[in-house]
Amino acid sequence: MALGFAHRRSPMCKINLLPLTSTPWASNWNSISKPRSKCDKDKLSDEAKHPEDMKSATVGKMDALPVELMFMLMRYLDLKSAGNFRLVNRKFNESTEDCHEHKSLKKYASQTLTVIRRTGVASAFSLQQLYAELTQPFCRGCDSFGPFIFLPTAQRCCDRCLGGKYQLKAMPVNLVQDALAVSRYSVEKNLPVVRSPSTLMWRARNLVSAAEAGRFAIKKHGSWDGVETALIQNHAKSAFLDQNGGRMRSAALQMNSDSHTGSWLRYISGSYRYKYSFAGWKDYAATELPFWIPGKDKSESAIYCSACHFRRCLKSTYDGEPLFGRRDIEAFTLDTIPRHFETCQWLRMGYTPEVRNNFRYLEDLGPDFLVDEDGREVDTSLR
Amino acid sequence: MATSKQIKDPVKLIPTIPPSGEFDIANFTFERKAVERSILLKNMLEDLGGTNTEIPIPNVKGDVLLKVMDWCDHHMNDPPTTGDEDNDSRRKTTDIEEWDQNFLQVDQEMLFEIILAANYLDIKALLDIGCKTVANMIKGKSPEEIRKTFNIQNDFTPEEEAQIRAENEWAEE
Repeated sequence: MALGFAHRRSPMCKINLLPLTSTPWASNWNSISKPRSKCDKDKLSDEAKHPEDMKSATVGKMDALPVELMFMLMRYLDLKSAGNFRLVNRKFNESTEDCHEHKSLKKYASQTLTVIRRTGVASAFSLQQLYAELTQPFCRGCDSFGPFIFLPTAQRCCDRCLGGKYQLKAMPVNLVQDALAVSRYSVEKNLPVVRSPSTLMWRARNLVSAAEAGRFAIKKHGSWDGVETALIQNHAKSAFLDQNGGRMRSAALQMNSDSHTGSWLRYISGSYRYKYSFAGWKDYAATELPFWIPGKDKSESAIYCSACHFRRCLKSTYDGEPLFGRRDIEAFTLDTIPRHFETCQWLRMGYTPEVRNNFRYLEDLGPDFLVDEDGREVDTSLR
Repeated sequence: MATSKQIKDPVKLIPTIPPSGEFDIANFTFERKAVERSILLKNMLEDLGGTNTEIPIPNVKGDVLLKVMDWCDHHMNDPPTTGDEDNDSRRKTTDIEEWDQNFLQVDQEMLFEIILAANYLDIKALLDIGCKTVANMIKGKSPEEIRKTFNIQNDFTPEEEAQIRAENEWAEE
């Protein structure tokens, strides 16, 4: 175990899905189309019957359930249903508030819940599932700490795996017809759809998990070959209908199916389009998820080794490699970072917080702080 | 029903609340393996030793006990759960086997009785699918629809309700 410098990142340089609306880089939440659910719209007038003289409400046959069974039942509810469940009556409200999973999620990951609700996936995942991700630290794609949650499947992940690992890729739902030969409607009906808001750079999009969408298409067409065949058929059909480019395209199709499979066939058969249809969406389908060890009074967010990050910055300046994303440095928690300091060669080569001042774009990162051998933050203002 | 089959290693369960209609103790003889799906009864059988195979069951009605044992009979040869909580929670909430779905297509009173019995007898898998079934009944419903489904009355004052609504929407635009 050794001590060293670490920093927290202000999230804006990483992920675009943040609950903030006051900052210029934040997501424009008004741009998302509202979830098409009738639950929100039940009018107050419908249930405004409040008999004042009623002392104790009867909890139908659910009355027979003891509280611990109510809690067990609640674990299988999703965020949205839990919200509706609360509104049923006093007893239900109390048991929702006392439900351990619900309470901890609300207390330690309230920002994450906000994003989950706003992106419209609140009804897709059970409290139990979200709680499991809150209390386990590891990225689902690798073994390091994962500071984010991939919203289409509610899996904890790290920045390096996000968009890199197949199961953590997102794709816009309007591309599924072209890339997987399944209708947008059927995908939206069967898979959780993340309604990603517009930002300064991007229009609002609806995203789904690429792996889940692929699995869905394979299930529908029987196999991946079936998907490709369907794509070729779709394409031939549209080429036939399309008078201008059609003759050329179907000629190319003819040629390729006669001789060898060329790049054109690969292009229209989807594997090409499928591969490139999820290139740049990762930041729009994930948000931060703190890590909480049950029993502790504080949740943890990711911290990074400052020496490693400084070296990445040098590399990015001189070699033009991107600073964040797949080649990013590993994230740690306070508990795990001392073990990293022990082996970090960049820290051993010497690092002081002052060197960072030469790099203007590092100002977005949080200030450096010292972490001691026991994983405690040493309280000194270093900058 | 268990009686129609040849029972190799019989265990008699005697419900203290007999079922409605004619009560035949022969109907309450089950395969030991099926009875052992219940952790409570399994431990009891172990404590009693090999000779005594009659167990009185208080707290569970005869009808419900028959239904629960029906489930145990069907799931008698299931592999024991791995105890991998993490893996279990990743599974989709709606995933209930078809046989179990049909099994739980009963009226609400029976459903809640089964859940209570599963809790008392400590049959985790049955308790899980019971809770999932109820959760699925709640999902996607508005508060008013939930009240109608389960015959529950609203005891909120308008102010209280408005307050919870406001709290609920802490995140929704």
